[in-house]
Amino acid sequence: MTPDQKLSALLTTAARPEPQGFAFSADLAQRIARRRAIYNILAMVPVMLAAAALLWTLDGLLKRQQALIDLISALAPGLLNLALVLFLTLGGRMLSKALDRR
Amino acid sequence: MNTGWGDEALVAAARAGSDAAFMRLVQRHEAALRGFLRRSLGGSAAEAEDLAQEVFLTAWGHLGRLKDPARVRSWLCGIGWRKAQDRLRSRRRDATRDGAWLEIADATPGLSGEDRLAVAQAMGELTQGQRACITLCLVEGWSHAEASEALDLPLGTVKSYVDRGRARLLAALGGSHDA
Repeated sequence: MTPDQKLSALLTTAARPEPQGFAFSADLAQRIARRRAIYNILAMVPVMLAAAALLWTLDGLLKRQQALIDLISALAPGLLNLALVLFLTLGGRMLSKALDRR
Repeated sequence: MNTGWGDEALVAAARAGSDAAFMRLVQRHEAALRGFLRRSLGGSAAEAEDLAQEVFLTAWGHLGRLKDPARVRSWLCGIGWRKAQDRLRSRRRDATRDGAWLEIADATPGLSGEDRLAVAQAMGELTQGQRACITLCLVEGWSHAEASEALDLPLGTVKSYVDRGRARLLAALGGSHDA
């Protein structure tokens, strides 16, 4: 074999694809899922802080408005049911969207 | 998921939040990326695999920065090349023989034991840039322009690296030393 032929044979051997790494993909999928979970939690932090500030402000306001407290107490059972329905509907939609993406 | 999707469609779906589409891209390109990293680093398969994982994690986080979704492999190799350079900088290359290329030479029919060692030695003595250019242009069959873009090296430098690297390998195999 001439040096050129040897080099051609070497490059042809080197060009053979590496075997498919299924363990590689599985490990990577796990790392991506972990990272996505962390990003999701971090993304919720500003919303949680804003919600806490809003509730803290409302708490201060409501303590000074006895009439409003009476009204909310009267409406509370109905509002609770409404909130539950809204929560389940929105949760179901979000879950359905997430499942569609996969 | 439709497995006949092209890279562009998969990138679009991955950008929209589909992890399944991203994993499809991973399955499509991981073997090529691991091969490129292994031959560029000259190290073990485990090291190349570890680095490839980092490359895909970086790509997942920066998918929005990919300018041409049709050239996702070139983009991944570019990220891999930068990470490989960081890794090579952080460890001194003491090996005078290249383990990855020694394995390739061992699997090549027609090479004598002397040739095999000479190839591994010659690859071990090449610069990082020369090794990466040889891997992309001579092994993977990329054009000089594609390698230049992926490795972020001037076109003339890529051509020179390929010519010099090829001449070095030929010389190791008993041919002329002229580039």
